[in-house]
Amino acid sequence: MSSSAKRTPPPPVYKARRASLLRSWLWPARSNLGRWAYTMQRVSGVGVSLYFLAHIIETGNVVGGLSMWSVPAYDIAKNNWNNTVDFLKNPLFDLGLVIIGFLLTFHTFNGLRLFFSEFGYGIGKPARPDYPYKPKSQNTLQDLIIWLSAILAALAAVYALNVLFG
Amino acid sequence: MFFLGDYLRESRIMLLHYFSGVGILVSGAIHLVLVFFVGSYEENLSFDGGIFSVIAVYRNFAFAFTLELLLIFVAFHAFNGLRVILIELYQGKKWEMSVNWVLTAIAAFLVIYGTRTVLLARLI
Amino acid sequence: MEISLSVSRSTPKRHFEEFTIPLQKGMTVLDALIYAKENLDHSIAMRYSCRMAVCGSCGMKVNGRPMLACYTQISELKSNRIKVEPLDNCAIIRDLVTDFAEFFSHHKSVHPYLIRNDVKEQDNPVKEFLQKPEEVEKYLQYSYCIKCGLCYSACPTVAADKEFPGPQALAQAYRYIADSRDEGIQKRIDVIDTAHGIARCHFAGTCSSVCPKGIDPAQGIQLLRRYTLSLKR
Ligand code: SF4
Ligand code: FES
Repeated sequence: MSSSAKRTPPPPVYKARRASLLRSWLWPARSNLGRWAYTMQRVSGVGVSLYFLAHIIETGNVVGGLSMWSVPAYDIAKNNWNNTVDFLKNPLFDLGLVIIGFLLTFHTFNGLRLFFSEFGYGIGKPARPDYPYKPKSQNTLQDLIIWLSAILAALAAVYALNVLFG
Repeated sequence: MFFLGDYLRESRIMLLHYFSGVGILVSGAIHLVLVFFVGSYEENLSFDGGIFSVIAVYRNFAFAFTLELLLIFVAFHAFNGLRVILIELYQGKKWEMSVNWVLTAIAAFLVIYGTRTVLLARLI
Repeated sequence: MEISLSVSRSTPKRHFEEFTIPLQKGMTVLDALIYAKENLDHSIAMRYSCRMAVCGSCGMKVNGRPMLACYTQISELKSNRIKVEPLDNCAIIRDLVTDFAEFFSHHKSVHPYLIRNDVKEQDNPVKEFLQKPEEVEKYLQYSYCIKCGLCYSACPTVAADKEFPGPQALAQAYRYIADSRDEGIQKRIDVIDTAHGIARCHFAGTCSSVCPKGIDPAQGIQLLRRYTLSLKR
């Protein structure tokens, strides 16, 4: 068709943005701590979402999975559940759970920080800027909570390791 | 759910997002306590061994209700979060519409499927 | 002492060109670039005007971080290899010169001027608008913005979302909303409270950490978000 041949190319601005997207959106090199938290919050959110999906499907097996939509007999349900637990009892899934424990804990505590910040708490009051221009919203409390979330997440992972492998 | 964007302001959706997060914190904490911090992990994971086993938790109304709340909160929070990421990655009316519908469909399926699990497990 | 300055060039293909610059005391990155342009290669394209962090035209990425070239001493970089690139999140016109059309259109979209309900009175005022010093403090820092675009180029959301107004525009929206003389809050909230508006800020804070004028856009955006989230409206 002639109309498609004459289609206007995308504006150069947009093309240039796409090119820099992966570099500056995905990888927070040479950035502040909050920028790392931004990426971690995304990665952990997506990770936990995927786990949530799997978890709902997996727990559906208590009552017989997708194929059964009436109340199952007690023994059948028990059998189904035991089969599911046996299937999930391998180091690969357990390792997955350890990682989910890490991500979930980080997401929780960093999310709390964001919750308060987004309602305007813990980010300081606007004031006249003075040299050396330290931004008030990037304060020690914020950095502390980010580090704390990371540490608690690591502890959660250690706890999960202990429960699942210990 | 997310095509509500035509009727709800974005700030209202995000308000729901933030408060569903707090809801998850509470209901999820109860869920985790029931699995990890009371009784033994092995027993809690078994079908009917002990007072916090799978079936016992479902049969307790308060616990089952917490699980149901957790399900709804997480479904909203997770899929709204995915929507945010996806509409930030690419812009356009068509893309936004498809993201909204597909994610709403998956979230709705998960809520229905999870609710079914809770309801049927209570009846076993 | 000498430093090596590698400059990103856009023609014929994007590549880096190395220059060796004799270091002088108090030399800024912009001085080094001007030295290279005067003595080594006249074809380097860059934008600058005031050389004192006032005009906001010399924003560029120095060693991977957005900075004002005229405001960055070479000694403070603690390295004698300097790499200058054009800003991210903007189309490149040539070498270090980037296209700010999108940036300014976002700035204009948030009504960056005082809005009064009584327009007649605003045009022909009978007396001054009075303001207490504490009321000035609330927005003063945001009014120091020089529109250099560093925060815009550092923002991860801007990198992905081309309809997101960016930290500068949102901070300016807050600057006018927080102004006690202004009455245009609803008008601005209508502009920014959309699917690609203020809700797409997730408080990464890169904007605040790169701003050369001590402005804290991240803080302003969170305070502005509080207005959009309030249940009273
Ligand atoms: S807020 Fe700061 S970094 Fe952003 S444009 Fe204004 S002066 Fe530049
Ligand atoms: S030349 Fe004016 S800000 Fe650098």
